[in-house]
Amino acid sequence: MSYIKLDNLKKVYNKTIEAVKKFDLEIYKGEFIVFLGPSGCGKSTTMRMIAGLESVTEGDILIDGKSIINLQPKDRGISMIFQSYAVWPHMTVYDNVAYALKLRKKSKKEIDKVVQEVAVVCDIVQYLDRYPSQLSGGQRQRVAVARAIAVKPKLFLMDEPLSNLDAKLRVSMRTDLKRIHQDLNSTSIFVTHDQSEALSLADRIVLMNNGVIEQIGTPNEIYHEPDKMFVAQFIGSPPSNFFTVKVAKKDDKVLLSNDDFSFEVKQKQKIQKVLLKDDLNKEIIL
Amino acid sequence: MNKGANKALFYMFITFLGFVFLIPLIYLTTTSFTSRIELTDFPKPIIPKFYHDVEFQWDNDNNRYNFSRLNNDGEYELLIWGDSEGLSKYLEEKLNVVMTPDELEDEIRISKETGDVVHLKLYKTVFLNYTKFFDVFSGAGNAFKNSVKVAIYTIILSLSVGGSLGYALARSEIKGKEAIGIGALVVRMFPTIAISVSAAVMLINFGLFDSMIGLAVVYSIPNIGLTAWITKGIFMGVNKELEEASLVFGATKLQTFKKITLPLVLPAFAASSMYAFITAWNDTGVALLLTNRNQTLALLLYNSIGGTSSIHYAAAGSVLLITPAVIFTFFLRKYINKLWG
Repeated sequence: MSYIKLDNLKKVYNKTIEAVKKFDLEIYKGEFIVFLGPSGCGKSTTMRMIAGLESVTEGDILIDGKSIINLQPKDRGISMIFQSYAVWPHMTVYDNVAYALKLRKKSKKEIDKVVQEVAVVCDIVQYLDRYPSQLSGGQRQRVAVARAIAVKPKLFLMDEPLSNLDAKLRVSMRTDLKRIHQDLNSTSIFVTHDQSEALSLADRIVLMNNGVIEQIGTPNEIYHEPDKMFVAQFIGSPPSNFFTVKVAKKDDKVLLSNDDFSFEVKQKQKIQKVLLKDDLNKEIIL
Repeated sequence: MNKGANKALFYMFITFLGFVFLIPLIYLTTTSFTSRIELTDFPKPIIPKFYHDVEFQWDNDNNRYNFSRLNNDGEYELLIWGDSEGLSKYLEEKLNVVMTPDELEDEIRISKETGDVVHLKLYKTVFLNYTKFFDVFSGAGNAFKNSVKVAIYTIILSLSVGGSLGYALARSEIKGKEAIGIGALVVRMFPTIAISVSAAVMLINFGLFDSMIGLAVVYSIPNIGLTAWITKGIFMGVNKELEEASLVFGATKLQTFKKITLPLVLPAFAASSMYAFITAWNDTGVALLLTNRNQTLALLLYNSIGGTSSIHYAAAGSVLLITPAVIFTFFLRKYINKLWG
């Protein structure tokens, strides 16, 4: 059964700009979902709607079968890691991590126990008394992670958490994030525009463009069997090649040709049939 | 030019600047510790003297003491003669030395008995000018209280109104936002004294004339705009994600404002409150027009400096006026440093 259901989600800004046109997704417990897409494709907006930081124009979000769209962010049982880390600069690392727990009126002893626990997981034990300004980018990032896991959320949201780190740290943090996800057996949504992050982290990738989902699938499916041209274009480094060819039928053979070369389609009957339908059409292959 | 010369020039310039700013303050402070008799001394000492070298001589013919003081030229100058009672009064009034006639008599009796000159070192009562300031200018205590009151009201008014305006300008999507912002600043462009007459009429209508609240309202007019602009910049500088994180991690909007936004913009409020304080504390012109019996300290000083004979008391009053402003500024400095340091 699905754990989280995004049903026909739609977001319109200023009554005219459609940031997210139609978004349907079911997420299972323990999954690591990655929203992937170019800048401005609506992936962050979708995440912020789940977090409750943006209102939903149309559609519904269900967690455990209950609609959450009318709840305050604080009541949704989620936690989030932000692109800028959003670690509060006027609090020590300890206070940052303990903030949410204090608001939940936990006892001091309990808070201390949880903070120490997550500090070990995120390897920030020796920095607990410091202020964020005294930490490096990677350390701040780990504080943000510690803060997010301290609340034991139903759902973990990560909004491009690695984009402000240097290349080497990015790869190692990636591993850490995945490890923490597996250790805690949590459900996560990760937003990124970096395909290598998406392909390495995701259980399933949701590839978006212009406010619509282009394809949902495992990294393997997305990489090897793109549904649409956009997906094929977006994934892969170096990018896939495209050729414009004419489809022709010569004798029994189906030929794809342009000025430079011609290619005989020998594979399955099905493809041949489809091709023949669109006779002499401009066709694009991969 | 080589590096050494450059450096030397730089330090000379800095020292010069320092003196330009400091000399009036030093002069004022020194004067606030001088007695009436020292006012006419020339050259003036930079560091105030806290004692007088004096001599008393019994004058048998006239049955009185002659009293002389060592002046700046190193000569004993005969100032007055009289009995110990008269001299005691004179000492307090002109030399800031407080001695009862009996105490004085004990010290100088030897001269009467032997006919010798008695040399004495008489110590001044250090803060006599300050206590005298409150005696001589009746209502100085009240004026001080008034000044503190009007400063606090001005801070509260400009910070609450200006701060809210700054937040609105930074965060909300109201129509004509720019116009409101510039409008708030335009108010600052002309001196407050220019609107004092109409302000006086309005305050009289509201029954706030000659009250500290009325005065604070007028002082707040330019400061609201300034505060709005200072806080607007800071509110805009606060990363929205910091607030969103707080919302996600279990805080309501109000809690977020209290625990996240406000601490982050505190330096801006510190700076603004300093400006508000200084406006209210330093002003004389507006206070002159808008108050009648309830003077502020600055206004009282303004009125008192005219009387030349009491310049040393006025100096003491000036130091009293300056000190709170300096303390307040230094106290806020550490917050402001966080902002621009």
